[in-house]
Amino acid sequence: MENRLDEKLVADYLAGDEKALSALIERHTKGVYNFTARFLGYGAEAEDVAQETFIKVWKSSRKFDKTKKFKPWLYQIARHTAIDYLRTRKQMVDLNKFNEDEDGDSMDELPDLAPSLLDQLSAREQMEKIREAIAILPEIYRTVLDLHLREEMSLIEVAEVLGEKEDTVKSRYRRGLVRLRKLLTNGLDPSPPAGSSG
Amino acid sequence: MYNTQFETVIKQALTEETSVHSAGLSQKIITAIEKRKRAGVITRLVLFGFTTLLSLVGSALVWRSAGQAFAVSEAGQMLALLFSDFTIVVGYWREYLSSLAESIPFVSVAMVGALVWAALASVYQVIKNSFVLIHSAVWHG
Repeated sequence: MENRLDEKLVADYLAGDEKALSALIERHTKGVYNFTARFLGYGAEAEDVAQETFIKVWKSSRKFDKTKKFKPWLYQIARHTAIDYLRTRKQMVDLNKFNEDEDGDSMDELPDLAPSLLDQLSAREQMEKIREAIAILPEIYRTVLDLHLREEMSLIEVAEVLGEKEDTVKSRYRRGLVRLRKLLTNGLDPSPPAGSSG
Repeated sequence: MYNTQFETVIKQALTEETSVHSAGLSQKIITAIEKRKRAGVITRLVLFGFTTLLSLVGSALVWRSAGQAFAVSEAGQMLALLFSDFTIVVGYWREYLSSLAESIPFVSVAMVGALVWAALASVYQVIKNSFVLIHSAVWHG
């Protein structure tokens, strides 16, 4: 099991250690694939984009800023590659989908997660419900939640990946949680009737 | 303040999500990169091989014309003075250097120098890339 840090692996690769690149790829394939699948759905397209991401990383490895962390850089490339791919497929002409934001949800409005809501379901059902809810979240929230909670990036790193300010990402993260909770409370209905309470 | 319990549940849901990618995706990616590396090396080999050939032919041609230019110039005679009348050269070294500089066919000499340098640099690249190609063939069968 390779235990060198990502940044060390990049440095070693640049110093001529070919196996360091393979180790980096093996370490991050799953994460990058999951991330690209958020844009493209699971399947061959996400795999192709994951592959293209690593090819770009390999090609631009000399441009990697050694003072920074590797993972945000990698995911930044993955994100751009996925968006470029969608652009060429002409399925994402409306980039607003990725910038749709800020409908005024705030953490103050966050109702306490009614334990009964999820407790009524089995553990497996709970997880499925949550995943379904995440899947229908707007992209901007989904990406932030995904990078922060699954990929365990700090919100500062997430901001780096998305090319946004840290405060914006923090706000999106909070709003993402609020939306997610509302979705779960409203039975996954993304547009509950006005005035409905949790 | 975040609701950590809620976040924990979300995190669990995300991390437990089954990632269905084809078996050996990592290896597929590594192979794709290796292929591109080899393609790059082969392209460079062809390019530098061609450059080597051109610069060697060019050097040979320019060498001949540079030799002729050198012969008709007074540079040869000026250089011969170094061996025949060294004390005079030392005594009048400034004048000697100035005359020598005027007599040398610089353009021809520079062309020969540039072409020889290009040939040597290309040969170095050909050797280097051949080594990389052989090395990668040994590693990857």
